[in-house]
Amino acid sequence: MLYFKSSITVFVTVAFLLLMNGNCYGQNYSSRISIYGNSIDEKPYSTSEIGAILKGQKSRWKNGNSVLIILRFTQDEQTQYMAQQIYNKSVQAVRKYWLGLVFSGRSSAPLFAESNEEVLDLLKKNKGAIAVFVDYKGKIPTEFKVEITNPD
Amino acid sequence: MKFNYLFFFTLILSSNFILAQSNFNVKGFGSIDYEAEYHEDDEELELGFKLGEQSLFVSGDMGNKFSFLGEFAINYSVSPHGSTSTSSFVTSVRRARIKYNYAGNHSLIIGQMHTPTNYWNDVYYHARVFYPTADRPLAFTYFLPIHSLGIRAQGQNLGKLNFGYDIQSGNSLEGDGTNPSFIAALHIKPTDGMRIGASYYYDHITDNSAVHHMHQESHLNSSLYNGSMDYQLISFSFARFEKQLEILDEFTTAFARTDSLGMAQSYSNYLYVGYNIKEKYTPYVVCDFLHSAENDLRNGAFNRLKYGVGYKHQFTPILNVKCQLEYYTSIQNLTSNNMVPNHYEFTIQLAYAIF
Repeated sequence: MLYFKSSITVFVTVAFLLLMNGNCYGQNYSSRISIYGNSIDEKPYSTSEIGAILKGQKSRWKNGNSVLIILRFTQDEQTQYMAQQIYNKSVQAVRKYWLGLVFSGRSSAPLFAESNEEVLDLLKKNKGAIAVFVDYKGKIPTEFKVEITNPD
Repeated sequence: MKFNYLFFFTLILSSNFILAQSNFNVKGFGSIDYEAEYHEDDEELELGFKLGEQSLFVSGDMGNKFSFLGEFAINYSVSPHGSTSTSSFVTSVRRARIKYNYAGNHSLIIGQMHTPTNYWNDVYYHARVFYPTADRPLAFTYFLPIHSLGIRAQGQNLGKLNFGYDIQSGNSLEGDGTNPSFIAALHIKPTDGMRIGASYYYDHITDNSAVHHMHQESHLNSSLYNGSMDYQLISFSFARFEKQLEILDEFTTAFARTDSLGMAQSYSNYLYVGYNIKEKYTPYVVCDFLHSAENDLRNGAFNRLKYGVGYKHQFTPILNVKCQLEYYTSIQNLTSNNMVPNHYEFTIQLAYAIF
């Protein structure tokens, strides 16, 4: 019983201290990053809301479409930049993050594209898709535009 | 057995064709271990390679808010000394479940799944590549029901704290639904990489001698008692995995109540602390203890303590090697019928995922 009580005390104390030390992460994305959606909820999103969606924390839009995340994902500098901006992780860590999330059954797998053009192609084909472009200069239909406001 | 291999090969060979048509994913997980044990009492050294569990993971969208997830495993099993057969491969279905995402982040799940008793069982499953240490907490060998077949209501990432719930009813540990088991698990994720959770499990067992094993390495001794029992578990989990610091604490207390010996309370705690150096290199420490009461007729009386140090080297996100040295002993001042001989265990585990 003594071990039980002491373990509970240690557990609660450690949890509290670490909670106090918790760091919340929120920031604007740079102009290199652009985010577009196909048939997603029409509303302005804060960067923290978009960040949560891109981390697989939302399963379904209010209009009923399933959330499908499309990322431009290779081994180049642009992917590294996206991984740092959106996930605050390295490319390798992002890959492992998604692998773990899908394996635990708590999120659907994202689609990984090799170029911005492929991202756009997948975006057009999938309702409910939300896509991240990096350094894309091409034209994207205005109906896919996602309004992003400052962090809340 | 031939049928099982045929099934696996068919699944693998057909995956490219299926992948081209829908959001269907096939992945593989496995490990290869090298273990060395040194027993202080008899100065005996045991060592050898061991083929870890190899599992195939499939998931796919079935359309109209339905999705499927399955996990099929092959284990290399060595029979106890004196048995006529020394080794064999055992195949099993670890998970096979259909999920209905009826609204927002709320879902109904039916099928065989892992019980959401703690963070480890809810997140890592059988994939060693995700494990922070080479082996699972001691509670998995004694207290916890790993899998269950039933129906679950699940919610996740709700509100600012990313609240989540799992309410499940399923077959009891006896393997039928006459007296269904019940589990409720709650958690929050206040920041990225952090999850704090608690769960409660209840099962009324009418015949303790007929209970199913909880997993392949279970030390459950069902011959202790063949009467009825109320079995309850309360668990707490704290997980914080950040860029550098990693902490995982799993606490479980088990209550086994019988008419003959009354309430027996047992408990265990697993603590892991790791520190990532440039993501790829993670030295860590681990401490794990378990004590089950003398009148615990479900688990038997056990007293276990192990602690050690380890190092994880991540070649890629899907390939890592862990080197771990642990010392197994018993908690001082606590007696039990099943004291474990003191010994050292050194493990090298190569864990991987294929996709």
